[in-house]
Amino acid sequence: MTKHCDSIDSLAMTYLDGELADEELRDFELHMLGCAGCRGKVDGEAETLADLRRKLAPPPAPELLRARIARALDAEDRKAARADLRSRVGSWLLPGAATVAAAAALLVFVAMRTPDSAGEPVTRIAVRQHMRGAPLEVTGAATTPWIQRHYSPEVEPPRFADSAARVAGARLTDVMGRQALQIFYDVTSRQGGHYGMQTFIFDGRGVQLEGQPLTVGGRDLRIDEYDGYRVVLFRDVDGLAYVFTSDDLSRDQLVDLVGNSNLVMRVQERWVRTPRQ
Amino acid sequence: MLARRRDQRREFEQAALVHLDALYGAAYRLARNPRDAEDLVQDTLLRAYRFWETFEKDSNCKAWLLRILTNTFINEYQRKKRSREVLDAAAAEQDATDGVLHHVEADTQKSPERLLLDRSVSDDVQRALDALPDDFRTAVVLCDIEGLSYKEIAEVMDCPVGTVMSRLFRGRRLLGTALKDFAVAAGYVKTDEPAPTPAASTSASTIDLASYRASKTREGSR
Repeated sequence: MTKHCDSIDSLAMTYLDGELADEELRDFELHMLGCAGCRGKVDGEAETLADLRRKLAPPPAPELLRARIARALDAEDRKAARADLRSRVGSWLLPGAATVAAAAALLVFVAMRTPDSAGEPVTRIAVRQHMRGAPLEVTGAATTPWIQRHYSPEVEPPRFADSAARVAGARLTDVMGRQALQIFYDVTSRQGGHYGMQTFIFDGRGVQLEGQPLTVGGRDLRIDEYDGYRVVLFRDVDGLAYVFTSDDLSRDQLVDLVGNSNLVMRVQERWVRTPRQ
Repeated sequence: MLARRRDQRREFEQAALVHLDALYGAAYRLARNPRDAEDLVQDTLLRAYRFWETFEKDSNCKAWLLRILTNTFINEYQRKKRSREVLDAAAAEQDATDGVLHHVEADTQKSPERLLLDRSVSDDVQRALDALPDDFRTAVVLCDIEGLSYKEIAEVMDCPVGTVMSRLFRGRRLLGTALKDFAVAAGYVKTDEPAPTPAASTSASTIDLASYRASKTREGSR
């Protein structure tokens, strides 16, 4: 019985973890050559440890988590960019007597733009949901079947010319107390830039769509903005509302994208079908 | 500013996001369910991103992230868990009066086949882990899942290497005993001998290595 045998439990663990110092390791291996008891103990512990590690092995991170974290980082970048902008605007305004007047004007503006939450404009509701970065419920190619099963068999994600925008995924949400669909797109511009865009779809009957009116391809769109986000709103002949939001596409890019979507086609198809009813 | 931010994002993705599987693995074993694990990973990475400028770029990024993760877990998720347990206890009491409470004792009266169907081995692992004190569990997760060295674990847990060794040793022993108990209860392992009580066997052994090393030092200095 040596001091190695006395300490065999903790020595075996440290040995198996590869944490014995050089001299300790040499001593211990030398000792094991002549001690069947300690050799047996180390073999037994090795087996137990391997078994434990096998049982503990966790699954890899889910794909949805990757997408969710990317969106959380995007939101963080936007927040930092806005804070930076505010600090720069603030430093222009600080000196001078005009500041008070400007601040007062800003206050009036803010007060006018803050209605009670029940009457909150669609634009703001959509932008806030866009910002929130909630987790997707479905991703990739499974999205359209999922939408038709969970939202409505009549609805499919709008498609865009030249596949400029790819569906990343979707989730169910709520807009003005109506069940709504939130679809996430990855947009690639002709110059190769990457952008994010979301589309909210819900029953838009009786809902006021705010913003500047703009007619594109015979359809009436509304163009709006809120908190740095560009928003395009559209209601189809069935009263289904589509709200497109993006914080990195320019106003023209977003209008161009929506103007070249299949929504025009869909409107025409429905006009053809209507007389039969 | 924007260009700098973009560079920072790219740098963060290359250095930190590559550890996503490792972070999720640790979170999965520390938190009680996959949903909490995902929240914990997201919180960890957001925090890391906010403090990215303070991270020394040539140091160990994985260990730094795991340190944020374990601190976040202990400070926030355990607190949430405790408040949830109060609610769970109230719900369990309600269930008991409704006659639907499942006792562990009731489990042992079921047939082994039924138990095997009810509970997979991986559930046992998670239950055994959940029963460990936080410090023991964290040490085991960092070593046996993440493959960190004793020294790295000591840095993550902010404690001496000796403490890491004893937490690891006792944590593994307790886990082994618990898993064996579950296996016995489920009837797929027979007891040949009573398992030694962990406290008695472990405290003696952890002192042993220290005294072994101390005796080596004395020999060396002679």
